[in-house]
Amino acid sequence: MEEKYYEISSDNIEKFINNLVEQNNEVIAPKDKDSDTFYDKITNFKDADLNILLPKLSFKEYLLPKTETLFEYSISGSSINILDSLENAGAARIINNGSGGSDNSGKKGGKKIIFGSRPCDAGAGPIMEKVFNWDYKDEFFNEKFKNLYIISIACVQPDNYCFCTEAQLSPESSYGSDILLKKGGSGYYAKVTTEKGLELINSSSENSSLFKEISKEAFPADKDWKAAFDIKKTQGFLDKNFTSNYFQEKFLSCIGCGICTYTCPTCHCFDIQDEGTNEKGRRIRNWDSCQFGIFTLHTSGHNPRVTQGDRYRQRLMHKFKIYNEKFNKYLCVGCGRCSRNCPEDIDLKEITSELSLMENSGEV
Amino acid sequence: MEKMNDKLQNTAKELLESKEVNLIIGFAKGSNPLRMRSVFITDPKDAYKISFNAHCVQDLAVFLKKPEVKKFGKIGIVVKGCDEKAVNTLIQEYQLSRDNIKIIGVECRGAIKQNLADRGEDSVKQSTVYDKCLACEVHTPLLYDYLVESDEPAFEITGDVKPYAKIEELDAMSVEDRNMFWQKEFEKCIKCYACRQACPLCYCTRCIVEKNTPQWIETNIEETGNAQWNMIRAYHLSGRCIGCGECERACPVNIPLMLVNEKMARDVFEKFGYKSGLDINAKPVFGTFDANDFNEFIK
Repeated sequence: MEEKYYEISSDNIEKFINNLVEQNNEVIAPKDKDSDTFYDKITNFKDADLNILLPKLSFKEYLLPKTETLFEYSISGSSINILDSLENAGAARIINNGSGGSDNSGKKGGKKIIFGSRPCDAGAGPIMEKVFNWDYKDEFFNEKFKNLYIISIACVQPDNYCFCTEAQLSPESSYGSDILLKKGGSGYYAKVTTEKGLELINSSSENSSLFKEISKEAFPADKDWKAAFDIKKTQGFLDKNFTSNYFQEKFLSCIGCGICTYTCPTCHCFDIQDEGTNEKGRRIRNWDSCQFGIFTLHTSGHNPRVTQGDRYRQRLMHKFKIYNEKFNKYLCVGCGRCSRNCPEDIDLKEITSELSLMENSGEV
Repeated sequence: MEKMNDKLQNTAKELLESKEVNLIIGFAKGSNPLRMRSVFITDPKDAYKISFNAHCVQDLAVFLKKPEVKKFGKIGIVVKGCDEKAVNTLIQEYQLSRDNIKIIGVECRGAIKQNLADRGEDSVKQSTVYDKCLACEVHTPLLYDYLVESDEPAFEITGDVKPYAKIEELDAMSVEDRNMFWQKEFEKCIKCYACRQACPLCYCTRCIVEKNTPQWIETNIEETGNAQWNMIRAYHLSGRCIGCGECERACPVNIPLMLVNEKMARDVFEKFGYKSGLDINAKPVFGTFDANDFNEFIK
C-alpha cells in the first residue's frame, strides 16, 4: 500500500480512541498499575499513560498468550469429543496482564487495538510472524496477528538501555505499526503504512473527519539517529567464537530467572503440555525460556547446555546470529527490557556493544 | 579509619593472594550510577573493582547454589547482614561447608529500593529503603570472618514504624476477602520463576514444578497454576526464608511476595519460637520434632 500521511490534533486523537472503544473494539494501552506501567485494556483515552517510555512488559501476550489452549477433549463411554480451540483464538481468552485473569469480555466481532506502543514493541510483531510461518503455519498466532491493530507513538528520548537504532529500527520507525504517530503541530502527525491502519481511520465518517490528509513532505522527517555500535560486528563475533570463555565468565552473574525472555517482545519459545484426567482435559502451550536448565534437558539425563553461560550464549546466538541467517533481520528490537528488568543488572546493550568492539579488535 | 571500600578491596586482595579462597563474590559498579551488580574476582589485581553502597540490593548468597560457582571450591563472599543469614541457612542445611566460605560481612545502613533508584533516588531514608531495612536487626552481620564497617551514619527512623503493615490489614480481613486479595495478586504471575531463581534458599536441582510424574503443580499460567505455584513456593520457604526480599525485588509483575514470606516467618516464630538464619548449629524447625510443639492444627 502507498503510505498516507495525516495531521490530527490532541483533542481529536482523544476522540478517535474513545470512538474506537465505543465501536466495540478492545483497546489496550500503557496503564498505571502497582506504581509501574503495564499494557492493559482501557475504556477511556484518559486511562492511557502516554508519558512513560515503555510499559514494564511488552504486549507479546496478545499475540502469544502466557497459556493458550490448543484443543480440549472429553471422553464419555465410547464417545470421544475433541474441541478445536482455534475458532476462539482471535477474540477470546485474552489474559489481561496485571489486572487479572481470563478476560472473556473481548467483544465479539471487535478488533484488538494496541494504542500508544513504541516502535520497538510494534516491530516485534512482524519479527515473530516470520518464525510462526517459515514452515508450519501457526494458525493460532496468525489469527491473533491478523486481528491486532497497532497504533504506536514515536519516541523522542530513548534511555540508556534502549538500542533500537543499533537493532536496525529507530525511535521513529514505522515497521510493524499500522499507524505511527509523531508528536508535533497541533498534536500529532500520522503515518499510515497498512490497510489495517486505513481501516481504523475510515471506521466511521466521524473518525475519518478527525484526520486531515497531508503530503509526504509535510510529515516531519526522522532525526538522524546514530548507532553507537555496529550490530553486524556483534554477529561477526558470535559467528566465530562459540567456545569463547567470555560467555562463561560474563554470565556467572546470571541466575537463570528467565525475566529477560519473559519480558522480551520477540522471545517466543513455548512448551506444550497436557492437563486433565481420563474424562476431560486440554492441550495447552505455555511460555517457556531458554534460560531454564530443564529447557534442553534430554530424557537420557544429558543436557547440551550445562552452564548458565551456555544458556545466555544461546540467547545471544538466537537473537543476533541464527535468526539473522534465516530471515536477514535480528530477533531483537532493542527495547532494553531485559536489561532494565534483570535482577542481576545484566545489560544487553552493554554486551552486544562489547562483543562488537571485541570483533573489531580481534580479541576473544 | 580505613575507608569501607579500601578495606573491602584489601581484604579481597589478601584472601586471593594468600590463596585462602579461589574466588571472591562482591559488588561492583553496575549499568548506571544508581545500580550495582555482582562481580566475580579470581585475580587479586582485579580486587579494586569491589565496592559497596546503598544500591547493593542483590543477595550474593544466591550464587552459592550455582554449580558453576561451587566448582571454585573455597569462596569469599561479600554479604550484608540480611544476606548473611542465607549463608547461615545454607550451612545449617548442609548445602555449604563452613570451611569453604570466607564471610566478608559489611555493615549495611539500609538498601534503597531499586524501583526508586531507577527513578533517580540516591539517599537512604526511612521512605526510600526496603521494609526489611526498617526492621533490620542485623546491620552488623551475625557471623563473619572479616567485618567491614560502614562510613555512613544510620538513617533516622521517626514515628511508629510498621514494616509490612499490610500483613495486619490482611489478617483482619475475612477469609474470602483475603483469598480475593491473593487471587488477584497471583493472577498477575507470568511463571518466569524469577522468585525461585533469585532465592538463595531455592536450591533444589529439580524444582517440584519440573516434576511431572505425577504433575504436582499445574503448568498453566492461569488462575489455578499460578495459585498452586505461589502456594508451594511459600510453603517450601516457611521456617527457612531469611527475608532478603530478593523474590519480590525480582518479580517483574510486582507481586508482594514478602507479605507471604514475612507472614510465614511470623507464624513460625509465634508457634515454634524459631527464627531462621540466626544460628548455623540450630536444627531446622521443620526438620525436627519436639513433643512440646504446637499441635492444635491436628484434628
